[in-house]
Amino acid sequence: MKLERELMRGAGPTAVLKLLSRRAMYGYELVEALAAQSDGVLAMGQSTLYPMLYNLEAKGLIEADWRDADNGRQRKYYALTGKGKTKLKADEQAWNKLTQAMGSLGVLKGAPA
Amino acid sequence: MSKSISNAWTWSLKHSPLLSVWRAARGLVRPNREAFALLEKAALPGPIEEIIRSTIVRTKLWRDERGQIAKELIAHAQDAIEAGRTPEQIVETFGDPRRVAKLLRRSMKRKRPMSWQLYRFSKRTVGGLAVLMIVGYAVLAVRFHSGAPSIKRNFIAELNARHDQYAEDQKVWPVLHQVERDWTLSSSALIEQHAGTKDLANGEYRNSLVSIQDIITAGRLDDSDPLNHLVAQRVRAFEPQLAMLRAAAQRPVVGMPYSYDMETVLLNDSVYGYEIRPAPDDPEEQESLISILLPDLGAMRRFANLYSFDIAIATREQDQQRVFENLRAMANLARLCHTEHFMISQLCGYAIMSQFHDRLVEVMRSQPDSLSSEQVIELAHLNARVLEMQGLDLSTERFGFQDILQRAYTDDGHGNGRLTPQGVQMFMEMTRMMSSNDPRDYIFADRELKAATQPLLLMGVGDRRQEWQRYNRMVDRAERVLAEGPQAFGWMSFEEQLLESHADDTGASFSPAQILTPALGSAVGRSFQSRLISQTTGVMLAIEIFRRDNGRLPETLDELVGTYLPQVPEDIFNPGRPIGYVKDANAGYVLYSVGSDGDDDGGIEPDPEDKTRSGIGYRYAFQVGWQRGRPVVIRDNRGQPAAAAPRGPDSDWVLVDTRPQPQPAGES
Repeated sequence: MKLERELMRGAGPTAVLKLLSRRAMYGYELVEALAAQSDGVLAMGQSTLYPMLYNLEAKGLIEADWRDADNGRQRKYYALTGKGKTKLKADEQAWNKLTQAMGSLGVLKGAPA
Repeated sequence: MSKSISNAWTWSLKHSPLLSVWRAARGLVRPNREAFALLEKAALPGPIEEIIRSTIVRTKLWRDERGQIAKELIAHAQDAIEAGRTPEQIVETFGDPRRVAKLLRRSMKRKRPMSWQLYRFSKRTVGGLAVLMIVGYAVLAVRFHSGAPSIKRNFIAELNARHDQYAEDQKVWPVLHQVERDWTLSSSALIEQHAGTKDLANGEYRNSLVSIQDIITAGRLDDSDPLNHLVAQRVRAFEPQLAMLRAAAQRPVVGMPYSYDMETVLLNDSVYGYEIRPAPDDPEEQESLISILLPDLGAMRRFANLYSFDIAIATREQDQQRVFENLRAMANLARLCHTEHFMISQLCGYAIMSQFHDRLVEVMRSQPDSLSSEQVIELAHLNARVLEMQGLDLSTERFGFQDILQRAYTDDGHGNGRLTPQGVQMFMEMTRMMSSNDPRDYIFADRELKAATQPLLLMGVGDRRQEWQRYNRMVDRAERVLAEGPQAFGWMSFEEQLLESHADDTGASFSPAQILTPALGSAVGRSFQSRLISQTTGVMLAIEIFRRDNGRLPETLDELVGTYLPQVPEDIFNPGRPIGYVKDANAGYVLYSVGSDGDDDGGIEPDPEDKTRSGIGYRYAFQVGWQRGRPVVIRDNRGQPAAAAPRGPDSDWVLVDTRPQPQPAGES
């Protein structure tokens, strides 16, 4: 199951920031991690990922640098900036409140109505 | 410290406008060079290379940006291949190249330097404003060009109808026009007579005509001057026509049909005159009311001058009857001017009455017994009749502006409307007549550009109601001063009009009302002056009758009240006080106004060099200063508007002086 575009637009950047909060990652790695860790829900192609990364970079939330990989090729790694960490923290709080609210409405399975 | 300096330097370099210009300029030539080189080097499977290539081309970004994207997409594809994805799977997950290119372009531009972001913002702002202006102009242009005036009232016909009740033999115009034609021929013959065998060039002919007019206007006989002598002979020979007009001048109205055009006609082989072409019945075919021509006024001024000159001739011939008839004709011509109701015709009446006054004073001083008592009484009654008509009537001026509005604006049926192309054309022609400089001539060289700017006038010119109200405010103010008296004159001053125009919040930069309002201040001033002159004429004639009845001059003017005068007139320069009267110990007397300084000096003549002695505005105008670029009235410590010149020349305005004139030195 994939999220609708509007939901993805809200959830995608937070998911990417969260993954990058653990360590710096390159594009393909992010695609794989998003698909694997969200059970395919947050899977996204290059058409969505790279514009999103560029936007986050333009806002100063992440920064990028090209590094040499083990296979001898270069990969562009993205890492969270200080501003990105602050933003992630705020996003996490917002998502928590949102899930609580949706849970209290009975939208989330298993949550009390 | 050195790290922060280095960061600042890097930031400055990255956001440098020059760098942005360089990066953009590089993209103009082979923008895909870097990206395609990377693709060739990567040697990706055909479908993947093709989709990346296609996406890169469509981004339309700067060359280095395309290179960065290509490098990243290639790395992504290589990672996917290493992870075991087939080219088909990779192409399938890539998405539509158009959409991908669009998203990449949008996000990549957000990363561009601040200088470029500013440039884009400015470009969009300017573009947005340009679009707004174009749309706004289009709306104005449609609104402007779709409007058309609707002329509903035929003002010229209404004015002509005022004469309908009079028969032809009650109108002076037919005689006036005929006599004027005759005089045109006669003065032309006079010039030829003066020139003798000399063939006059145009300029010389005109100069001779001016010289003849100057001699007639001066009203003095001078046998030592050959031209003066010829003029006197010619005027004397013109007596039959002058007599005809003297008789006709007693008719009740002028009765000239109001028209807007004069047709030039040949009176003989070489002399031109004019014919009046009556205005068409259809007001659409007429010019505006303010364009109509009033040649009768010029003719009446001319013949008032001729009668004044003929008084000098009749005095020399001791023809007292003709002196009286000439004086009566002058006063009648002034009366006829006042039956016309135009402001200009009333001003013409004031001028003739002033001339009548001067001539009468001369007669009274030099030959006090030359007129019979009946003649003096008749002149006094005629003077009183003209005095009654002298109040400045501005109703026809309002008519004139109403006519302008109906020809320039649309009519919404509720007294309002907007400016039309016909109106702009009319105002431009009027402005050109008043001033040869059209400010837009300096900006726009050709007619098309001028025409294109016309719809913009809708923003700068007041609408019909605003202009009508503005015009009425000015005329109302003039009428208020006429009603309240000259002490309210300050409100008529130029400065006050300036104040009002600044206080006007309509924001209109061009106001037809302000341009077309006549010089009301000057006209009101002339009205007051003329009234004072005619009132003094009346007092002088009353004194003359008193003198004949009692064999002496009155001690005070109060002696005249009852039998000879209803009341002693007030001095407009000295509110609440009568005009001044000083009886000379030997003979004669002086009647005077305290003059422009408001200070009674006992009837002393002013310095002849002082030109300000009769200026009403000088007495009552405000002082106006400027604060923050706006005019303000300067007030005294009581909060009253400070007069522009509270003290003037130490003399009075002598209106009548019948004392014997001192003989010039050397004569005995």
